[in-house]
Amino acid sequence: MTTPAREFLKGCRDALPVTLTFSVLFVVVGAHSQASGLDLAQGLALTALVFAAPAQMAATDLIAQGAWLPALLAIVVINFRFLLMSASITPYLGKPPRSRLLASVQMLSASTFATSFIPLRENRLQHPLRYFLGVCAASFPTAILATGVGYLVQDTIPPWLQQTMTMVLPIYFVTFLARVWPKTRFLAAGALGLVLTPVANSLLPGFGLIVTALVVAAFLMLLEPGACPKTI
Amino acid sequence: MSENHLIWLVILTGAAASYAFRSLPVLVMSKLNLEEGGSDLLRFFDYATYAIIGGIIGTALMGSNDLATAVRDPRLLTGLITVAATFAFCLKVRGNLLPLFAGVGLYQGLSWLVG
Repeated sequence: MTTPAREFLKGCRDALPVTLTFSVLFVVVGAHSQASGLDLAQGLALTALVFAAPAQMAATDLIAQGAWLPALLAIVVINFRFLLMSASITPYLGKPPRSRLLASVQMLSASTFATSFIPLRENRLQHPLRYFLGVCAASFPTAILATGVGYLVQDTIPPWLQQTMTMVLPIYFVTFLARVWPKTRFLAAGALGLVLTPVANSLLPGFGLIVTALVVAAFLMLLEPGACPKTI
Repeated sequence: MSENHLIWLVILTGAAASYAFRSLPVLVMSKLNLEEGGSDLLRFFDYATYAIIGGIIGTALMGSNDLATAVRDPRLLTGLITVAATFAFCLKVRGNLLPLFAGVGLYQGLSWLVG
């Protein structure tokens, strides 16, 4: 019998690689905010409210150039992917009060999503929202704290370490794909996403991830034997 | 409007849009009767999720390079080898942390060899 607290702690533990990555990634984001002319409160607010390193980096670049509307559009376009991630994860978060769910999804990012999704989907959790909150509790405050540190200390992390740390997340995500072995259809979805997303990104900047995910999912649905509409 | 106000406007409007993307499915999906495992919609999102995870890996391997530059960058090959080796290692051992550290170590070693 698991308790909500135990599943919360399991989420915190599972998010350790994300915490490690965020503690470097968001230092870079914070330093970038400072270099782009944001004040500390704006840098912290950007992480707390937008919470997506790629969108933040793009937006602060454009803010530095005084390109206000493109900066806003960059956030909108890059974060559009959260629509699909939220749609995927919501059914597995159980049936808590909607207000709690609405408060929790602010901490949904690519990393918290990928870390939580497979344990949630495996359906072994009795308190799925607590687990998700555990993942977020280890990730979200780290991102904010690291942004502040990055803003104050700027670029003191050696480039080789930055390069290595940027690889932590993809390596960690590979371990998630390996966990679905031998479900070849899901592995095929991952492999197609890996290959096609960079290509789609070069054709449709900012929309590559979501377009590829939708196309791959539709394609694999069509390949299912005897695929026919069931329950929605 | 001052520059400071414009920055806040970008942050707050961007935050509102980001939250809308995150929260809209919560409002919509709760109205649908989804049967776990049996629903076409859920399976569709499951496939999409694994494609997203693969896509994030692919995008991270490219770094900040465009496609043409990335395919000529030796770091892409280093990353691909690391990803493939980590995947294979994961099939042999349980858990995520050991393959994670092994993968990071391998990447660091390969990067050192490539220069």
